[in-house]
Amino acid sequence: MSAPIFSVIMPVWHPDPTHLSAAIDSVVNQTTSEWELIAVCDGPQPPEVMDVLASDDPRIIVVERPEQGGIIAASAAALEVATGEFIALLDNDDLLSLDALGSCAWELTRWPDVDVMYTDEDKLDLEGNRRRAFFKPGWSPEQLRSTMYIGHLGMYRRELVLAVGGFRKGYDGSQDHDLALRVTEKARRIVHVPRICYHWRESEGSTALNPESKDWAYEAGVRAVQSHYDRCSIPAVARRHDLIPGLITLDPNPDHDFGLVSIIMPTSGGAKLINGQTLTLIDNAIQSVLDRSSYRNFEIITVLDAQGTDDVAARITAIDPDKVKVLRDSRPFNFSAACNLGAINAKGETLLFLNDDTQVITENWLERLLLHAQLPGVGAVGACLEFPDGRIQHGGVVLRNGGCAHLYAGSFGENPGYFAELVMPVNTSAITGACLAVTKENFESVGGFTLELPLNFNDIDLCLKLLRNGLRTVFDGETRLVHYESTTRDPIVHGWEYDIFADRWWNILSHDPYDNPNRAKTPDASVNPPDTLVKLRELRHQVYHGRPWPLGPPVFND
Amino acid sequence: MQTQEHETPSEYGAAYYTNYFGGRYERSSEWLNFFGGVADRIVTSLRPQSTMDVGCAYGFLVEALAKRGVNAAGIDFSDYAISQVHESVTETCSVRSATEPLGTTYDLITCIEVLEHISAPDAQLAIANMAQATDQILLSSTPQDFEEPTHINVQPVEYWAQLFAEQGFFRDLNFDATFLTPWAVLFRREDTSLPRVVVGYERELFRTRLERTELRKETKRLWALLEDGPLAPVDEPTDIAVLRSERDELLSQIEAVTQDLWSARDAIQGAIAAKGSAKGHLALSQMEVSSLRAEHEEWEKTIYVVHEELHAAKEELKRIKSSRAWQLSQGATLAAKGKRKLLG
Repeated sequence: MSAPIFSVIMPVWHPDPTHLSAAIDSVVNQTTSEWELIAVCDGPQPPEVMDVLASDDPRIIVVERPEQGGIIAASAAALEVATGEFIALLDNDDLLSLDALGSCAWELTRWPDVDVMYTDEDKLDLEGNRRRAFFKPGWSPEQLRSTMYIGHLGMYRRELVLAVGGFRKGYDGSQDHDLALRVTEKARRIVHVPRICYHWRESEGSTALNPESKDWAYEAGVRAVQSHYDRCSIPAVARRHDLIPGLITLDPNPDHDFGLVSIIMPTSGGAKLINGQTLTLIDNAIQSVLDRSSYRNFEIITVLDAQGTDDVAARITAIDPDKVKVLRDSRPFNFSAACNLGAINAKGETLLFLNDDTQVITENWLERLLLHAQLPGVGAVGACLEFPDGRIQHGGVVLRNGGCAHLYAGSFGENPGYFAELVMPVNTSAITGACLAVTKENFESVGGFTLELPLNFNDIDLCLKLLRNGLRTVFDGETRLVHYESTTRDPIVHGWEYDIFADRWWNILSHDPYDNPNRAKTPDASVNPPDTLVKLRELRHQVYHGRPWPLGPPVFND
Repeated sequence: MQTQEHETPSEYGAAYYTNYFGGRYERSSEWLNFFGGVADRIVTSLRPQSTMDVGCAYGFLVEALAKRGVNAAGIDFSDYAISQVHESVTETCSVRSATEPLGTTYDLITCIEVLEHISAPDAQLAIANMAQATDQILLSSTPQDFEEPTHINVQPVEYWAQLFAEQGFFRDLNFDATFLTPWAVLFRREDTSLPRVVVGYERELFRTRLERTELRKETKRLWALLEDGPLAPVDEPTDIAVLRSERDELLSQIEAVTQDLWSARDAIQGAIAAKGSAKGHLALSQMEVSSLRAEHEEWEKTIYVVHEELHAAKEELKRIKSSRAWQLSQGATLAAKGKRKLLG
């Protein structure tokens, strides 16, 4: 028998025989026959279990280990006998959907160089009902550092798994997270299959039901992520998240020198009535940067437009003459031109575009933004912005149905988001320019902000240009600022702006690689942006009319 | 006065000259140019017919003066040094100590960095010898270099001035000898009186004092500027202001050019993206076209079938119309119509 495509690895340890039987059946009934199932008995198993495992199907291989050695030893033993091109992990009481392997095989015909594939998943509750579907985003390296979101069903090219050393001892409970981190570091292509191919059975004591039940697994996860940081020279320390069990967060290394960052703030020097006080926005923003930032190696470049007077310029400079510089721009207001002017005059290796109507909340905001902006393969980095009343103003940008919108806009500030995506660094297609960090090198390489879009969409356009050049966008939900939003500018989006924008990005506006075609249908309303999308669509008749995924994931057709 | 004879001056051999002043004293263009310049000044301002260089070493000055038509001679007590003189002056340079009388007279005697090498009594003897042989002596002897080990008699300028005054020689206050060294002096034999010497020195003293006062004032002004800080208003020379504005102009040009470059990059990025989007549109349109085409074919088939049916129906009608029953019924109809008409 020639080697199959898939080796399904199933460590067996005292399962419910009916659940085990269902699990084996879910493999046997696959729509493709390109598989082998390797069941590894971790130590002696009860006779009922052995009865279920007994089969005359030659594709089912049973390995009996005389002594219990734990999940890592069992998985390693299975890896030794596996012959398939890919290995997939299946727990001994979970189920594969019937087309799980077939869907992956089909992706393989499209992308022969794929090294890792992962699918969506849901949970089977104690009554056998399916619930809590997790519709995952496209390959998001930043998200994998915070949580094992690849989860099930994960497919890893066997050669690569062996090349990185297989399952590592000492990471019990998070051995799959550790493996995923090590394999994805080396993978040529990582493909997300947007189908629910795995049903994870919740049982008492399993992490599926109670994330706190496996404290040691959580600790192993922190260690796995830390060792990933060390391998990749990421200057950060991994630790447990303060609020969400199971989530791993990071602290930028306080000793690391991220270099000079130039904070560029276009402004007209306007004031606004906030909480009964007349607040000069730019003064307030600069003061909050100076007062709250724990990272001190920054310069502030304000670009004062034609409305700004000499008095305003003098007042801004007086706030801190060492750090604050004022550029005068007498041209008609063009947000892009103002930002580019600031960037040309910036001395820092990293640029941070900040609106004048913002206010810093988290003290380590600069370190976190710089850390991500300076990672290889990363373009723009953004933060979570809140309205002054605590509701969310910006939680990343999603492109959907020919439009784009802020995720979670108007949602309550404590919302952890869909699978906690609002409280960790994740990848999105775009982020707002109200707070956007990017290295000067990357910013220059795509020609900065486009002058063709003076008011709206220039930030998303920038992110998409970077994305097209292989530089992903990072949204960090743990970095927070207040955004008083569009108090100084005309908030209206014009049709012609949308036309220019959509002419460029029509393709991706219907195929956000970090969106999931099923996510729009989840009943959780907060997951989806408010009706901005609809408004955008009204702007233009010739928009893409919501056909789901006609061309598949090749996002950029050039 | 007993003189010390240096018959074999071993300390002034080859090693001494190669390590002279930490640098090499050798036949290099620097030394030749230097003494060429000195000779020029001597020839133009003092116009001597004959000269004697006491302590001439390799004879560079003798050589330079000879080249300029002066009847120049030199002596040095180092036979090594005299062995190194240029062939043009081998006849006029000889090994001899400055403590010996020169025997003949010269328009000018030069004695450059020599006396500090000789003990004080020998130096006095040398001065007396020189004073007997000429009316003007160009002297240079360092007042400050105590480092050099052979400098056994380093003295201030006034020390030499006193010795020369004793011989009836006084500083020529009108002659600036600093082209040679900062401490060089031209001594002239002068039949003068103390009041006249005082007048000369007073005049020089006053000039120097005035200069010092001016310098102090300037120093004070610069200090005040420094204390007021770098932003204190300074009258800028115009060229700096011009340069500043040119610099600002260039900077703004760089700004504009950079922005143009970025715009071009942006346009390229946008065009590539738009091309991708257009391809996507095209793919969708093609899908639509092919589905319309399929629909079109279906309709054509349907039309063909309908045509066939229509044709068959027409044939059928024709057949019916030509049948006997049809004609009969037609006849009956006509009859009924005629009847109705008649009944009217």
